[in-house]
Amino acid sequence: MNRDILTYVVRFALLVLVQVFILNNIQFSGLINPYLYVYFLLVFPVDFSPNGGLFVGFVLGITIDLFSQTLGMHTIASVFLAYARPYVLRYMAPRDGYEFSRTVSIRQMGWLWFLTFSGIMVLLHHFVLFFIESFRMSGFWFTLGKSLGSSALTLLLVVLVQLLFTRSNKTGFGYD
Amino acid sequence: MRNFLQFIWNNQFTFLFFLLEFLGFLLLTTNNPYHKSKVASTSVAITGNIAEVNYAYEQYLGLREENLKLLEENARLKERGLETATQQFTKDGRFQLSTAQVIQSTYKLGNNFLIINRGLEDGIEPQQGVLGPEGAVGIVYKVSNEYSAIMPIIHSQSMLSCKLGTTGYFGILKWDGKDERFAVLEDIPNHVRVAEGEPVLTRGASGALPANVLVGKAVAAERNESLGFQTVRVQLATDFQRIGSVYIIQNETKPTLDSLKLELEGE
Repeated sequence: MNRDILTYVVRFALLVLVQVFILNNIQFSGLINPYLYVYFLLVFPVDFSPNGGLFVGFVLGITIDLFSQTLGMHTIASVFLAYARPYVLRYMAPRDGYEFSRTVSIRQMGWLWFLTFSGIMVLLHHFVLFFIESFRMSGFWFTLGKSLGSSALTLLLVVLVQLLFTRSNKTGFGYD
Repeated sequence: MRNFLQFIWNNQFTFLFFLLEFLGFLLLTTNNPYHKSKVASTSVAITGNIAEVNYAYEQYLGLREENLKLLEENARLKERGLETATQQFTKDGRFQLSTAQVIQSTYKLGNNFLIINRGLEDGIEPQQGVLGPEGAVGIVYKVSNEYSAIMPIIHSQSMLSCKLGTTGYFGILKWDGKDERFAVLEDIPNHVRVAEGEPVLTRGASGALPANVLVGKAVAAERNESLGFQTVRVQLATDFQRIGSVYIIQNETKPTLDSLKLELEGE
């Protein structure tokens, strides 16, 4: 258990650092920007308490916000994602339900499930984020396009991270 | 209270979500100049709209009262204006005006009438003159305690002594029963040139209406060679299709005028 906590703390720190120092600085044509840090909420334990998940989302969002001078935006989007998470999980639950303390990964849930789940989650997060950022309804299609493009890029990175850092063996220190 | 707390506890996930999102919005709108200004302008627009609606509503509620006030003020002003305008009619003539609302009126009949919401109890008596905001309306001819009937100019029995505004030749204004917008002024000598648009004024002969009140304007004149008199078609100043508030004129000197006339007739 302690080991699990350490895993999550390290993952949190690494994702924030990568997001703030690398991804925030590369903008493709100034419009599309991946937000890989949502990966942290994607692969959070399935059976974690929903209330606790909200707090995790809040802390994750506000941390990103503090580093990128966008106080509030990522907080709102991440809390929303943490709120939606249990519902999406319930919607996508396998026929027999989730196994106890299962984590979300390609290896455990399969490609199709993982891509669908991650796609829905990333889209939800990015829609909220980009609409909070524009904060108006004019330019709706532009904002929609931006969030779709960024979602695709984020999803690509999520899959890459999954493939790079998931080990085949269940034991040991890893990002599964 | 207990149930309320229970409700919150049962939905703690959603309430926690809203609480954290509220915190997020608070952070968003206090730390980002763009979002801050956006919220400020939106809230100004909303409160501005609410204030406007509120103002309009209050104005609407006060309309009735406001109308009455204006009518009373109008009556006072008219009284003052009439006094000066009727100085020549009678030197010590005192005209009292009171306001009334037309509650029923006709304009399509041969004998049209108006009913007003003032009667004996308000000092209304037959033969008192009635003015509208635009000009002469008619004469009171039947009075009940609370209501009075007015014989308007557009009544087949109506006869109003009128004169031409520029030349001063006078005649009797009658209604031919055809069109509620027009009446005819009879007994104007043939030699009088009647200009189109010339004002037609009351003469004040009966004492019911003061002199020099606008009745209408001349639109056409038709000479009758055999009689030596022409009839002038007069477009009435008062629109009887939408007559609303009127003034009743009480002439305190009318009885003395009437008795003088009787004396003359008796000779």
